[in-house]
Amino acid sequence: MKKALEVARVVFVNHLKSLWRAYDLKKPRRSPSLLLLVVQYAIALLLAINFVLVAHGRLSSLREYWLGIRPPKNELMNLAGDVLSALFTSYLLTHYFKQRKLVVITPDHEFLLYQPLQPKELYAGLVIGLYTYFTVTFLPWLFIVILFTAPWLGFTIFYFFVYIMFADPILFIVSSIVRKSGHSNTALSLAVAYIAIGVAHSAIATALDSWPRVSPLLTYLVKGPYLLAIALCESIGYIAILVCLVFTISAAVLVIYIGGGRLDVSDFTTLGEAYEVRLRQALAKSLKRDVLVDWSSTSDAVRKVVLEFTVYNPRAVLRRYMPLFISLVIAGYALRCVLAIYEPSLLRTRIFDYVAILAYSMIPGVLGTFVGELLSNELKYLWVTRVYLLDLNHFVKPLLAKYVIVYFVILSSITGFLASYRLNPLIALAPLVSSPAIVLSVFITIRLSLVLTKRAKHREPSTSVYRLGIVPALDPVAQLLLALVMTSGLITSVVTATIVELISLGALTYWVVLIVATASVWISYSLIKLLCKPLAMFLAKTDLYL
Amino acid sequence: MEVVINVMNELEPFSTRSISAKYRVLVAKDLVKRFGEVVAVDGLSIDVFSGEVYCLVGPNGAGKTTTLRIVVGLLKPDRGSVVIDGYDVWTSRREALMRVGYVPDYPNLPSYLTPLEFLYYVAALRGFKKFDVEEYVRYYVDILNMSDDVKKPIRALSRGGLQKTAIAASLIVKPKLVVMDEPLTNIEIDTQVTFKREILRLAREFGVSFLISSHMLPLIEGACSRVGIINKGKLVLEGSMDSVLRVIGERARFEDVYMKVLGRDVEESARGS
Repeated sequence: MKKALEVARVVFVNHLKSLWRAYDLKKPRRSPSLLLLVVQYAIALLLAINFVLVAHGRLSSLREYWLGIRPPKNELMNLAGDVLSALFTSYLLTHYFKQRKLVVITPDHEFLLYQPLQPKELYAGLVIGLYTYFTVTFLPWLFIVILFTAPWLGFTIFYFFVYIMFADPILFIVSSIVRKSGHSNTALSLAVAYIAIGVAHSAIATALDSWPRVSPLLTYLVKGPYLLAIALCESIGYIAILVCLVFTISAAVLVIYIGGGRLDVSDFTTLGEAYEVRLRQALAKSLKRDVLVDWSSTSDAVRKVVLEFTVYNPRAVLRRYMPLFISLVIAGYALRCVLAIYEPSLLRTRIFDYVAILAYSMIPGVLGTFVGELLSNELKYLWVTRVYLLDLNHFVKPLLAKYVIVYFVILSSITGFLASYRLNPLIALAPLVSSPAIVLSVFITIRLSLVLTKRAKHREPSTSVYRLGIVPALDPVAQLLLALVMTSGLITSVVTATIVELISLGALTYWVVLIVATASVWISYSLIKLLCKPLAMFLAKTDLYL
Repeated sequence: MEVVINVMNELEPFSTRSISAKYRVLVAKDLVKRFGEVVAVDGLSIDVFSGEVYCLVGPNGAGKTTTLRIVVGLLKPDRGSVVIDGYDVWTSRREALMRVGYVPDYPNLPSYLTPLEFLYYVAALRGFKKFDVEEYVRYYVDILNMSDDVKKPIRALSRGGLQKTAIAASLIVKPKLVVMDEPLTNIEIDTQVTFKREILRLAREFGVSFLISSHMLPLIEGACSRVGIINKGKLVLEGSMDSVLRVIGERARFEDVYMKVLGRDVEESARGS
């Protein structure tokens, strides 16, 4: 355990160091990430001061306002919570036994693989170090929940956070033990049988009641700890939940350490290898293509390779997102019908706008994925394009088009849901109206991704491919660049949401929307043509490190 | 090992006697490249003549890779210029690069293509049609011993396989100058020998020039017509292989010269000669 704790210390300190890696005592402004952390804690401190004021009733109106706009608690919300819990439980139970899972080690911790450590020490150390870091960065935001809602909710969320956090490594160890004993299929069958019993129980309970019910078998694995935390808070108090937290964490760490004894070196892999496996699987599923042995022109060959020979090729995107789009459109309409029957009053409220806000807020994350994809594909072999392609315009056009298409399709899924839920087909045209913002956002993403390649070179050995998904491991400048990319996604989301609102409120008539959408598409097309040249020039002239 | 040495001895190094009569394919003048406070390349100048195999050698971190990347326009020098066949790499990028083939130290290639597709893709990037390069592709796939791997996805290739694919790509585009960074790393011995024969053939018969960075003594001694030793971003010794060997006396081996030069013992005398 001593070695595991040492590994944990290294992992934790390494992550923390990434926050002030560029920190210079003489020039503290060089460390934007440290500044961000300080700002984060400053906000939490200000909120803490506010909390005192709220306690004295000075700002109670703000709190009441916040409580007033929270989604109301009712049967429908409970049902939604139950369904989500059931889906999550089903996912957890089947996910871990379907295929072999590996512990993925980020490049800055690859050296740990070559130390005289037992697998259990390495694994426990990684888990403890990483989770301690997550907890430290998560805590300030917990203050907000505590202050604006209620302390019990904050503690409950923290308890739930800890539970979810440790569920993953424990389930990983269990699945690993099961796999090594050769009983993966049996375990998967048992998990499926358990889910089937839960579904049957839900069906019976629904038949006996007038309202859809979800079996506790499917919900309590997720809801249980949450309810326990609430019960503890209400009956014994916050000290009890703190004691419970310490007990839960200690027990989880012990289980991970002891269970980790069944792991071996083949259970660990590097991020680069894991990405290659993921890419291989994604390509096998989504990419059926012809062999590139003939081409009509240079631009034809580049278009084939950039646009069609990747996981984001239009056919694969259509195949992947069309079912999502159709499901969301149907779900939006079904939701409207169900509400009209059971809770017509909710149709007049803005309750499902929260769902849309949640969906919009995922867009910056999508851009983060684009950065990862760019760094792993097009920019990774940009040297080929730089040296052999004489006119980079041939490369830039399909590159911009590819990411604009994916971005557009994802936004369309959100607006498709809202259009069918509000029975207003004009809403579905919102992404067309906001398409210039989409083009600009993709342009910013590609441009900043190229700058990120420079940061990558200094952070990692040339044989290790740089990936996203390891944001804490990036240096502060890279984190800042990533934040800029995501901000551009946020702006696009806000623009689209505003257009949706304007259409919903009737501020834009049918003809206005059509004319503006047509104009926007034309502007987007012109923008792509206009931006190609500077982007091509930037790609041709900037220093290339990958 | 015995066989390799014999084969190497059969290969007559490219003669440098008529170099002055040939024209300069590459003129890299006074290159300087800084990374923050580190000076990676410090006032380095290299000329490569037509039909010449120029080897750049030096310790790790000496600035070899940075120099080669500057030559092919992947890095912009802070000072100095690179002219290929009369065209500046930065002001006449198109004209300069259409004469160049390049093999990086670690060739990242599109992992979802096969080597065969990649070779055709590179040809397409240069504006060739399939029939223009089909024969070359077949030839290099054959002599670089790639036949078994040519239809596998690139992601399934070994490091040597990647290297061979990048080498083949650099040669099928009919270049005047081929820039190669550690081209023989991880490549099996028989292909190394074939590779050396091939670059000598291309240099002699077609006047193709090669700028190669390498740590491999058999390649340096067996194929290079001129050699430059670089240390801390500066060229500390340059000349034909014969003249470089004479720096420390008759019957010297290149490794002895290399050690001496890096030990600074003969640096001044080398510059004098």
